[in-house]
Amino acid sequence: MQLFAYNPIGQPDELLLWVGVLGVEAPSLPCFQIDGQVVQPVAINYPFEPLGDEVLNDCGRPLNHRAIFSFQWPDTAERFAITVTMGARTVMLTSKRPPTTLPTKNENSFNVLLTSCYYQPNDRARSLAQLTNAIKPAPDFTLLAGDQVYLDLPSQQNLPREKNSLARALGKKYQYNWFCDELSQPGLAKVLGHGPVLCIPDDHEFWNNFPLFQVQLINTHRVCDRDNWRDAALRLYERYQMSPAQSQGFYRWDLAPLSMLFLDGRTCRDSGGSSMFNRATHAAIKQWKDDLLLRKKNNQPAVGLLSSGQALVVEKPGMWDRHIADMEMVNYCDFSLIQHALKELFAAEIPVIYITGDVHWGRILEGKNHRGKCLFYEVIASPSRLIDTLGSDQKNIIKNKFRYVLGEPLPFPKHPEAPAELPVFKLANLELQTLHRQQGDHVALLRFNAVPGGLEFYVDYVCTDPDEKKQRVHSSTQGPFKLLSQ
Amino acid sequence: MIKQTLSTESVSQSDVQKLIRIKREANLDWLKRAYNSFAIEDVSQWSFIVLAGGKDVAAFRLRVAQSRLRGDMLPSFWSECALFKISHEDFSSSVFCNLPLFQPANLSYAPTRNGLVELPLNKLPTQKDYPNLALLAIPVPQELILQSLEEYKKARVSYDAVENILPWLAYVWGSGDATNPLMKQIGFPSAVMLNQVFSARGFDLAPGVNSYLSTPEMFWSGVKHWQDYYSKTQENGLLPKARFVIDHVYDIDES
Repeated sequence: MQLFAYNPIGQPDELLLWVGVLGVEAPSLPCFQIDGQVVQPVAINYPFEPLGDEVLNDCGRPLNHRAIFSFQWPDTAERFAITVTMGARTVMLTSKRPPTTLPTKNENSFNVLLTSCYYQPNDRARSLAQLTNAIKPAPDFTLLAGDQVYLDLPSQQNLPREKNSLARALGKKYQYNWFCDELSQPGLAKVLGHGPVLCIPDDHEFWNNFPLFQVQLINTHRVCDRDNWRDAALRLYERYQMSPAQSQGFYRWDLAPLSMLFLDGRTCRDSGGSSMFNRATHAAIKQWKDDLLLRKKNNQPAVGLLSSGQALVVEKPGMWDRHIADMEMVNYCDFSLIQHALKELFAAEIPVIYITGDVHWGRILEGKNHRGKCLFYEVIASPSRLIDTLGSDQKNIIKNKFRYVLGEPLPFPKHPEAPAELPVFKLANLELQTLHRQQGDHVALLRFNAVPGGLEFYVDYVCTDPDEKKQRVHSSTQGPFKLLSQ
Repeated sequence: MIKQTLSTESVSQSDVQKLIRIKREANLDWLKRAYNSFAIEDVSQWSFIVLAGGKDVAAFRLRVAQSRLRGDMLPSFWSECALFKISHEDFSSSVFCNLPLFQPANLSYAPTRNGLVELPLNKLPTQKDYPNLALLAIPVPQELILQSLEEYKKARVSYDAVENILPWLAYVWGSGDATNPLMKQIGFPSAVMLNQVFSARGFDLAPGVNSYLSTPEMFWSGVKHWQDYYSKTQENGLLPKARFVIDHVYDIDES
């Protein structure tokens, strides 16, 4: 039997625990302890259900399951320990009840760990979790902003076409990342174990540039194969990553003056460029914008935070690029909903922060209106562990050898650099400027405090390269950035 | 030291056994005996990898290069690895497939076959050249591995094996300022190729290191120390096995 548990974010009044069990046909109710005291769940949001990896016993019954339990928050504002026990297996994790409003400047900041793009086979030199767990101040909330698994890698893999075999092959990748402690392997277990956690999906939760077919991925050429892959990957995403609180396609969380909206722009995306969000998400974007405008109207400070699995300020790929590169958000008709919402908010001088991963480089972008008022920041942190790009990796290393001879080696020869030039991208006529560019494996810690009229935040870019020297040289604090609506 | 992940689970059950040579048993005979000693019921579910350790200068440099991956910093026992493609139980047409650093002059232009070489069984160097030998039985059907190998052969666009060979050759020959390629994150070509081919079929031959750092030493470490990992990740319940003979170690005295 293998056991894992983590704390996905729920509604503000509920502490959720996801419990996964491998190798058991009928899992029993686990025993839960909070800070050493036995506790009972107040509800079972989802009883033990198959994880969707189609691992069956000899009688054809599923062996791998997950359940989601709901608890009352313990009466403490500090981080607390949770122990989940089933049989002889025990998993330990921690959580902390989020505040109801953003702390003011004389209090400890509210800290959001932003991480994305995690490729487990390249995490063996020094695990990402070792580095993120050492971050000070400790995160209060962890956002995994897409590509928590790379179901389509390694690129040479020959995935089976038969539906159940395919689900087993894809499920194995989740097992490596979620149940890694049981395997003595690096993985996301100890990143997820620092709750509460929210996972947003991006394309590699399915395959590169999902749902479009990819030339290099044979299993995406035929409609029936794409359907099989989508169904298996979607089930795995729902069972492993999706919190019940985001089942409608978004997660809304208000910590006044900050109003946060996390969007799933991937699982409902069509291949023609029509829509990437479902109807409930369309309504949620409008509601989020209206609520911010109302706060402003009521003379309350208001700042928006928007997050999805892709970058906002990117060049719009052309028709041909869509198939050989990635479809970006800007390619979709319902991107206009975001554009219009931002336009209205900026017109009312309500600032917005956009945070994401996806692009394999990091960046902070600032946007000011014609009066010089700062209304927009985009913060990107990607990757936490870079994928292999065979061929180009080798060439880059060799090229770097020549640079070494000339005395100018690149610190991260495999990683792309954030573009020096900004794309031609209209964002409500804001004047955009790049403030920081980050290269190499990294995560970002965003530290928020409320200030009169809005908020102030810092971004700690934490280099997660296994090399300690690079960690020192390429980690930095950016900010403070002040966003005021009044 | 090159940073890696160490297995923390104790090995409960493992079919990794020393198989000493009978008198001056030839490598070929040892291999046949090692293969038979596995007593595999359904051979179609398995593939085989050979690790070999030489004792000439090139092998010395390759074995020392891999000491960076060992906790004791001693030279590896191994300087080469290859897929042992078994066609018939009697080995009559079996071959070794690998990416040798020293490409044979009588074969076609290396880039057209992505450096891949097939060596007939009777060309296996003698026990004098390769005193150390290990046969690894990996629970992935050979038929699937051979399919992936065919695709790999034509895949220079996605994986340039030849380019990977050059830094190793430079290191072995001591060319210019060539240093240990492992320190530049360049794995041993044959091992990187084999791990890619097996990873394509869902089996990680080197669970302790990043995917691009594969070496014969890490395959050895995988089969010796990662049995618990395999027992939890192998769908078919089959675990890798190994037979080995080590007749050459360097005389290093720490007393």
